[in-house]
Amino acid sequence: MSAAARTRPSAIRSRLGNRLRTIGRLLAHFATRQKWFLLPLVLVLLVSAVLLVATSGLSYVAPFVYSIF
Amino acid sequence: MTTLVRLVTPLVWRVPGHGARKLFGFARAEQGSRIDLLQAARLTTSLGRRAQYLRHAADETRHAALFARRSTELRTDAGKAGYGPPIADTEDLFERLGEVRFLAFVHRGEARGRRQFEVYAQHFASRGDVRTEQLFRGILADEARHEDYTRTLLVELTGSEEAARTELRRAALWEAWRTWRRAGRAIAGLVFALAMSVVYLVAAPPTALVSRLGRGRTRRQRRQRYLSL
Amino acid sequence: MSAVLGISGTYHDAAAALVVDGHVVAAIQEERLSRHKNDPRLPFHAAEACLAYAGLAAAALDRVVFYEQPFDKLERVLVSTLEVFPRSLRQFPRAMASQLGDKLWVMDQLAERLGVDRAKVTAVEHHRAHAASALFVSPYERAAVLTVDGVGESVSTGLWRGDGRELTPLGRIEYPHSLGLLYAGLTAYLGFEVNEGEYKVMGLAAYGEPRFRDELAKLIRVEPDGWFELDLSYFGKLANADLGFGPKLEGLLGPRRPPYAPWDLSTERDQRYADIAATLQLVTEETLLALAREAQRRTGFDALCLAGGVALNAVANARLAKEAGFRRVFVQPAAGDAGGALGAAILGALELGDPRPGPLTTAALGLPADAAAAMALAGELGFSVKRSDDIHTVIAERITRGEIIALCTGRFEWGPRALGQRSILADPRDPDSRERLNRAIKRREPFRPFAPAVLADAAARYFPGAPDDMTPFMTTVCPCPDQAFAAVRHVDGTARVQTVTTATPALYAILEAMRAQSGHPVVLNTSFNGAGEPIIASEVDALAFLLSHPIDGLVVDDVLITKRPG
Repeated sequence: MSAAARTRPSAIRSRLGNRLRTIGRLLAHFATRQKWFLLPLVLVLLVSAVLLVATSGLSYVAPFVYSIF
Repeated sequence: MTTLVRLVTPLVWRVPGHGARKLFGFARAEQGSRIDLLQAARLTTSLGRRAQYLRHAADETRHAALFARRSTELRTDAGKAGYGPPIADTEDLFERLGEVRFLAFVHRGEARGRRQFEVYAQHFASRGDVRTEQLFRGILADEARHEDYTRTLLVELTGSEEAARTELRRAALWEAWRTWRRAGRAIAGLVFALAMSVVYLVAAPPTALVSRLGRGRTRRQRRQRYLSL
Repeated sequence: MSAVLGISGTYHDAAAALVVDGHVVAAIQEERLSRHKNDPRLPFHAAEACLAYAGLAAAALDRVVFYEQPFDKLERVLVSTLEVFPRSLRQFPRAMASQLGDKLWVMDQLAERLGVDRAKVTAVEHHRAHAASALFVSPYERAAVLTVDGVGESVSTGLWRGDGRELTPLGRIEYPHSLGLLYAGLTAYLGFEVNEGEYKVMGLAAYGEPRFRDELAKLIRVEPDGWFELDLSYFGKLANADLGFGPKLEGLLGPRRPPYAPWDLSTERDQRYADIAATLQLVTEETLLALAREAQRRTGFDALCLAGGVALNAVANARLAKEAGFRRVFVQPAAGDAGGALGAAILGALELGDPRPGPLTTAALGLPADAAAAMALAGELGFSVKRSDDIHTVIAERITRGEIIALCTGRFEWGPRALGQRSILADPRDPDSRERLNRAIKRREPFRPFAPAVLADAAARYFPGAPDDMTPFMTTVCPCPDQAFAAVRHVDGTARVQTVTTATPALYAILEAMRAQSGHPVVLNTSFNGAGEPIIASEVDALAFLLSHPIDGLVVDDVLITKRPG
């Protein structure tokens, strides 16, 4: 799949839709079976997760780069 | 860049224990380069270039071993165990960048490495550390060769000097963007860790309490789940 | 009739497996293609390779099945870190980062990157995937199944009844009480890397005496029926994810061994660590035995399937086969987390109404090598290249002469063992070959043995007890009474033997040639990879290896490649 295909507006919309549905299912999961007490915490955690999703996908060892410090 | 390296080198390498750590970091970087070159060798469509990438990968393997060995020697001298085998992960650079951009990126990396290692070789020569100086001198020769062949291939693939220079400029931009993202990740990581610590301190005590009350975690309940479900 | 892709990943050793119309078509670990050892990233290279091998487009998939329930896992991580407030303060942000940044979105990412409808992506329970990966490719219609690992979502140990297409859970033990975590904690204590060094602990154990039984009895308490619990105060797992053990353990067993310090078993210090390893191994075996006997008692079946990371303990598997009360025992080659992909795929296929796959006869489920491409590239690199109609005799001759030959033929293996498709071969009777292998290529600790491959029809003569259902996949050990096979005999007089039939054609032919030449159809067989690297996949990797290592020759299918003519 090309990079262009991944960033088409329709693709972005569908990805956003998938994420929102996953969030919905997650909240439903925690809303049942004696897990309600985790719900507020899960909500806070989800908000903070935006930061991580935005910066994911990098390797920890940089090839061809020798650190100076 | 070279000026910066010249300025910080005497300080950085003098921090006790830091030299061994740095050399090990270099070993991992070489190992990471090797993984990317192997991917390049697998994916390129040209037999000639495949062989060139493989030879380059073999050099990186050797360099990784040399850096790691020197790092272990320094650690051993300091009475400590080495850091183990240098293991790297990968970003699949060839796959993501395509062959031309990949070559431009590698060329820039090799050129930067060569200039940096020249400074290090001089530094260790002036300190009388012949072993480490020789290590960098040996690797320098390879870096210069890698710099040349990637440049030649780049001109070949883009069709002209001019186009190759354009690609190198684009690679520089991409690198800057990547550095920015790496910095962004580091900062985001810090902010996130801080936020999470606050969340933890505020939310954990009550949640832990309710959770302990609410779940079947006594020894008898655990054992029951083993005996029948 | 359906096509189902199974996926494991995001923790350790990711993999993809493809089941089409109830047949296991391909199964590949991501590390083989990405060349990043134990690559945990979602296995998109492996998934694409499986599809390409089968000639399928992703759109043709009926189901993509992930090997773990992401929400259940998040719940367990949340609850278990919160419950040990405030000790988990430092661990919490890291645990959340990996859950929220990555693992939570796995099924969306699979749909998007593979290009399948999100509704087709489902997940199964981790231990059910493990159980399925063993039972449904085993030679048994009915079997007791035991799944033992570090932890899945929340279960660490599962007892199952496997009957035809049905897997029924009979009992479970939950995190943090876990045999896998006990082994991992002590692996870290002994200075090895968790998820990688467990084999080393097993090899080291043979050099020690199990004289720390009283101490280990404090760490784990096992009931006669197999149920066990850990004394959590000894394990840092809950408070410190990196270590896996706490200061109290060092109080009990003495200071931890510094990682990567060279081993010298003639010193009292290292001998003590070997004794600890021996005790750990013994306790692991006895716990597994108790669990297996209980599984036998509850099912009444005479066959046992084992899966999960702990099932990679070949020494323990050998004891289970002898002492647990089963007539037959089976462990599939990728018993660890990678294997979950296979189990997930099969569960998906069964649910869609496909038949159960037949018994696994070969681990060669990866991509094939390309001899023509290898010839062209070797020529370009200036190597000497020779095609031979009788390549297996050539290999046998060279090995008998004391040479070390790397073999890259057919489809690469599924699981952590090289089984004759990507193997380095040497003379099993020549201690020099072993010494040279270790010094120049493997750089292993001195206590790690090399393994033999033997023709199945002659196996019993050299390795009493072989062949059985595990020996084709090297998931067990057998006695090796003949001291002449010094290079493959472990210090305790056993060998992790592979028995070879025509299902592994190249190695079979080489062993036939060895028999004709030396009288013994036995060869030293170690995985084809450099130190710290994944096993070779393609002919390109194989040639890269040849460039960097002093082996005497590389064979790709019927082509012999050497550095110098001759």
